[in-house]
Amino acid sequence: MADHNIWKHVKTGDVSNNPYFKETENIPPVSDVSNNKNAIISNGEYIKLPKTDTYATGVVALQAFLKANPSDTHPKFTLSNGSNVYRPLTFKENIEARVTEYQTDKNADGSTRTAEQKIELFKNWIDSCTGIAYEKKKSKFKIIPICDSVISIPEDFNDAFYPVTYSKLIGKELDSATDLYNQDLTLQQVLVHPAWITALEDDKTLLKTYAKITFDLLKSKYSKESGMGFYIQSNTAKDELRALCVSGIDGDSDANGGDGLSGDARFLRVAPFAKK
Amino acid sequence: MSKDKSPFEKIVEIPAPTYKNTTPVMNIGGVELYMWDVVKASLAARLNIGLGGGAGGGKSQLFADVSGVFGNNLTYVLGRNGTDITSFYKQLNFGKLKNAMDTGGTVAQKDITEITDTLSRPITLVEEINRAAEIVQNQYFNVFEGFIELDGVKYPLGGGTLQSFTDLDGTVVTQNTNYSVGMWTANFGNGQYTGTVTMDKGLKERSHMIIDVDNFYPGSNNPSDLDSILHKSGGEIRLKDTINPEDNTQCFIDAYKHMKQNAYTPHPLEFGQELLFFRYLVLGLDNIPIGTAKNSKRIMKEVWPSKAEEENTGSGDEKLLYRMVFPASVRSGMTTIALARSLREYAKAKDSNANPTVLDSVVESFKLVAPYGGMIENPHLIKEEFVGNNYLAASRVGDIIKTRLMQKSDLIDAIARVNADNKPYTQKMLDECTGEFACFR
Repeated sequence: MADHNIWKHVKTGDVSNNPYFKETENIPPVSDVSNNKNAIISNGEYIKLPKTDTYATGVVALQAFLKANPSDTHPKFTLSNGSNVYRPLTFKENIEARVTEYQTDKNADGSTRTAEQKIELFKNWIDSCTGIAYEKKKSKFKIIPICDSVISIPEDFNDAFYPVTYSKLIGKELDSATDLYNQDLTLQQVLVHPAWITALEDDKTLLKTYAKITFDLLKSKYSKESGMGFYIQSNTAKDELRALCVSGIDGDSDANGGDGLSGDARFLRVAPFAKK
Repeated sequence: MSKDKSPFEKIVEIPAPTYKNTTPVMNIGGVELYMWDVVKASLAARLNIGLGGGAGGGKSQLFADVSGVFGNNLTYVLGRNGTDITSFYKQLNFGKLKNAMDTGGTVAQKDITEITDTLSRPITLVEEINRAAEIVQNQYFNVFEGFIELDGVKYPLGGGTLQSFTDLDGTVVTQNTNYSVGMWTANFGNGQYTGTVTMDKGLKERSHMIIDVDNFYPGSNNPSDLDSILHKSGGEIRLKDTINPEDNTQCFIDAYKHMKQNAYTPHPLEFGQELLFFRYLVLGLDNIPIGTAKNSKRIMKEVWPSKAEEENTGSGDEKLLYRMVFPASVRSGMTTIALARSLREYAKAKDSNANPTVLDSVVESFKLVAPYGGMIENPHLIKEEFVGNNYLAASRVGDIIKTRLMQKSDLIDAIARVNADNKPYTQKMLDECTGEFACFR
């Protein structure tokens, strides 16, 4: 009998990062995405990893993937115990990824990138290994660009925040009582916002570039003149450590330091063919 | 040695003899397409075209230029109540021909030549179609379908040859590739055109693509277009026919054959998306959360969209989808996909660096097919939110659809993969295939 399944003629690109497939399913790993059109079309030099149920499982999945598919483009980090591990990108690196993707005109295969490809990384939130710690019952908080504790977080960790002793953490301290937090900001407010500047490790040029792109997108897509709020916790019952993430453009590209570690997570990995 | 040009590359290079308009109709894959481009892309897919809008904006000149491109070889009809297109063809002595065929008699060579020459014309142009009553307009149904019927006999329009196509299974299909296209113009306006009438929905659907040219008026993006129009008019305000035109009919026939072969053997990486977007246009847009109507606008018959309005169904973007968008018919859905394919081919031929996606092309195609093709309804809402302009309404809906489908891009890729592998959907996929996306199951 003839096979009438016309879908058999359909081909797809790389679905190894597709969140609708469990990792245990028989989807072959992609060892060289430079040969994979779909990955290039979707993400250019950065690949979005599948969304995971918790921050911890996301970190572990990232490290497991890179262990199985070693990369010399994705950054590593030496933990306090001496082990050298792949780490999630920092908040600043995620912002750089968005800017890079937005400003890249050609794919690795030489084809012209579409506007949609350029804003691909703006479509979802992205988690980072940048920690944000809160002092209990205070408005003080610290931003830790590369946070050992969240990089080495146990796989089964499923609480909203990681318990820490605030005073022992090393990072730049800020006070949420002295600036605008938990609200939309204007472009000018973003450019001088101490938390945004700190989160981007004092790279004001990057902040200016990113804010310009973001506000252009907000205006063209949603007719909005404000966004990029910096959302945090304050006066917490205990000292807390969470991870800083950046929202998608539909979430105004806010910096979000209040998300629970028990919630969904999504990380980027750097493509093997990325420019170093 | 350079390789031969593709049919679309040849079509892209055909200039408009007189018409001038660089107001973009769309940007697809990084390439701006103007009215002349869109009309040629549509003709390459053998799609009928209707042009509406206020008088004097260049509709007739655009079609006069199209006529020139086809060597001025067209059947021209002026939309008037006294026009009888059947009589027009009957004048050609079909009776003699039929009688000769039936009885084995003879018929004059002159009559045969006249008949075949007329039937093989690639274009039928009806000017000011809405100045003819609907009952007269209905005579054009068959012409726009590519044939005429006389005394119970169907005669195909457009010259054609038998052509073999190979489908994805390797099966060879032989078809007559008649090339005939219907075009019409109509004056749309705010009631200022006396003597015009409404147009039948069936005719609009068969028109495939109807463009209200007022949305892309010459000079509105580039005022120097007007400078050029005035300067090159030579003081002649009337239509300018092309003198000694070059007949490019074969270019369009070749492009159409190319598109037909593409339809049999679509690009494997694009095919899955096309299948799902076609489902979405025909079935997904039918979805409405009204249980008594089995969640179907079609089943609501004439109470749609009034019942949705009364029950205040949906909010934000969904409000527009539920109350203003009627699903594509199978024919309109096929038209949308066919035009999308042609637009992609055209954009790539116009700029070798263009990278049009299936979604971009389908959405841009939707914006041209939907406004007057029976997919944008609810005049009150259109008037309230889109100044009564169907194109603006369809454009907004197109953007909404694009966003919603982009948000499902992972799901679409996953469905394509499991269907291609003939595997069952995962529970997570099934959970997402609800509402307007239930058609993806």
